[in-house]
This record gives sequence, C-alpha cells and structure tokens, in this order.
Amino acid sequence: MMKSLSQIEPRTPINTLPGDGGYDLYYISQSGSYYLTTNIVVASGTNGIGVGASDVVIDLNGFTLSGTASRIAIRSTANLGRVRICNGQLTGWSGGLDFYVNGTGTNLTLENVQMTLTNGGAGLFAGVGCGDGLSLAHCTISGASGPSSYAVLAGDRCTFEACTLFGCNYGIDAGSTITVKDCTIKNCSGGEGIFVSNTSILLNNLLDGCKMGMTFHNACMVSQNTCQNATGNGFNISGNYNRVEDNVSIGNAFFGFISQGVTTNNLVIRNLARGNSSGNYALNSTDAVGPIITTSGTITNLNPWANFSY
Amino acid sequence: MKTKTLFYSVIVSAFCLLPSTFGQGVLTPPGAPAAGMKSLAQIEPRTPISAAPFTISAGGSYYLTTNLTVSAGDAITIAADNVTLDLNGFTIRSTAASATGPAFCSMAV
Repeated sequence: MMKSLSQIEPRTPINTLPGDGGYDLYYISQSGSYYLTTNIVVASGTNGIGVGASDVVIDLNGFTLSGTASRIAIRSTANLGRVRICNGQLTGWSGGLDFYVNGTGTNLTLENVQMTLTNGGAGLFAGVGCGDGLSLAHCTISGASGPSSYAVLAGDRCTFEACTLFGCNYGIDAGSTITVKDCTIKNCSGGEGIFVSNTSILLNNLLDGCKMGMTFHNACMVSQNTCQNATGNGFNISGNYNRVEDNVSIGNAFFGFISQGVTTNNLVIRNLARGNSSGNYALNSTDAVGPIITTSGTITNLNPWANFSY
Repeated sequence: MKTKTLFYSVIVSAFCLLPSTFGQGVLTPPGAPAAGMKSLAQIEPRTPISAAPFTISAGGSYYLTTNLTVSAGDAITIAADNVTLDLNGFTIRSTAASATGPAFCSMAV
C-alpha cells in the first residue's frame, strides 16, 4: 500500500505550464493547486503568471518570482474568484497582484508573501489590486511608489492582518466593511496610510510618515491606533457615527484628530494627541467628544471619556 | 426474410473485403513518450539543511530535516536576500555553557 509520487505531490509545478501568447510566462487556465519548484526570473516585457480560472491556489513554496518594471507578477485575465497565493517573494515588478484591470478578482487570499516592487512611473500599479473579499495576512509590500500607485487597492469586506506596508504612494485604499488589524504602514507619502469607507474596524495599527494617517467615513470602530509624523492630518473623521477611542496622534504636520466637513454623532473619547502643528483636536460641536485635558500632573478630572492634549 | 438475410450477408462480406478502408493505421510510435511523472526534485524542490553551522548564500527556499545542535557560535547564517527558511517542526539548539550566538543571523551582502 505505498503511495505514488503523484499522491505525495498532487499539485502542478508552475514551470511546466504553457505561456499566454507572450503576455504571461505561465498561464493557469484550470482550477487547481500549483506551486513553484525554484526561483523564477522573468525577462523584461513579460508578466509572471496569468490566472484565467477561479478556485486556484498558487504556493510560491518559499521561492522568488522576479520580474521587471511596468509588468505584473500575478494577474487575472477574466473575472474570477477564490484565488489563494502564499509563501514567497515577488520582486522587481511594478505590480504584485493585478486582479482588477483585465478581470475583477473577488475573495482573494494572500498570506506570507513579501513584495519588493519597483516604481511603475505614471501608471496605476498596486501591490494588490482586486475586488471585494480580499484577505491579506502576514504580508510585506514596499516600493509601489509611483504617483498613481497603491500598496493595496481593494473593494468591500476585506480583512488585513499583521501586514507591513512601506515606501508606497498610498497604503490601504478599500471600500466598506473592512478590518485592518495589527498592521504597520510607513512612509506612504502620496496619500492616506489607511482609507476606508463605512462600517469598518481599524484596530491597533501604526501609521508613520504618511501624507495622511487614516480616513474613515461612517460607523467605523477606530481604536488603539497610532498616527504619527504625517505631512497632513493624523485621524480624518470624514462621516458620522464613528467611535474613535484610545488612539494616539503625534507630531503630524496638520491636525491630530479632525472632523472633515459636516459631521455628526462621532464619539471621540480617551485619545491622546501631542505636538500636531495645526492643532491636536479640531472636532465639530455636533460630535460627542470627551473633555480635552491639557494640563500635566495628577489627573483630577474623573470623566472616564476624557481625551488628552499636550 | 430470405431476401433480407442475403442483403445483410452481402453488406458484411463487403466490409470484410475492404481492409484498406478500416485498417489499424500506422503502428509505429510517433516518438518517445513524454515524461509524465514528477521527478523527486519537483516533489521536494527546496534545499534541505541537515547540519549546523550552515550558511545560506543564495536566495531560495530551505528547510530543516532534523533537529540542529551547535556547541558554539551561530547555527544558520543568512547571507542573501529572498530567503525562506522553514524549520519544519524541528529545533535549533545551542549547548554552549553560555550561549552567545543567535540561532539565525544575517550578513550584509
């Protein structure tokens, strides 16, 4: 009752796949499980792997898929879903995963992938670009620094966990019902470190040296984040009914916490702001804000919702 | 009935007499069969590490095949970018009386 070799490794080596008419070095046309068996260096002018089917797993298997500027490491060629990519490095490309230009990818999962990207010039490139339902965990994305580039550009109901994004133009730009947890986003100098819409959760993230810290719209839970050293504002409250609690905003060039435009019923409590050049708090009277304590020494104000400002 | 039987007999005989029309074709194989099986290198393409100290000097994917023990110094030195190291469930241990080296260290390359 011995196992056959094809039972031990039933997956398909990617370097046995055909190409895609010069667009992609390797092309996946059928659902299944695929893996790298070596480092792969793709010549200039060609993308790495094209995906034309749903229900695909690509295991980089610890290896590196290297390419050149203006090309994409892994891209979709049709509308598809449920693609999982894991365990390896993508280097030298202008785009990491493009699942939005030639076909929208939904419900993608990306785990344990390190991307070192190259500025793609004026083009729209992203570390990860896709539709709804992205799950990104334990990934590193750097170098998506072109003026229209993003570390991540995604749709609704996405989850980001324990990722590091740095040296990109924008950080995370996503839709509604987003969770961003335990991420570090640094030096995304063209825009927000995190930009999300409604009913999102932003928890325990560190944003340093971005153009803006984080912007969120309506009914979001924003807690235990730190925004520091932005060239703009730290926390942009850009809607209503958000709960902004236990955050730190330090050393930003504009405001620490600011209500953008007409906002109502944002609960802003228990935060700390310090050394923000234009002011630590600029909140509307239509929001619900804990008292702002500016004095040092023993805390005598017993209001449990107090914010602090130094 | 007899007429019908005769008709079928003629038809069957006609087919039997036309071997060139329904033959087996060329029986010579077109070439050597293509490799259909995976090689061992495809099944486990990563580089095994079975002894320490060990230096990783090229990017790639590495894995432990056993517990590693060093009596002094570093166990695994990583001297290249783009390296994945899978401990594969094993342990890297130092038995030095006062261990000073790290299990892993990286060198500028």
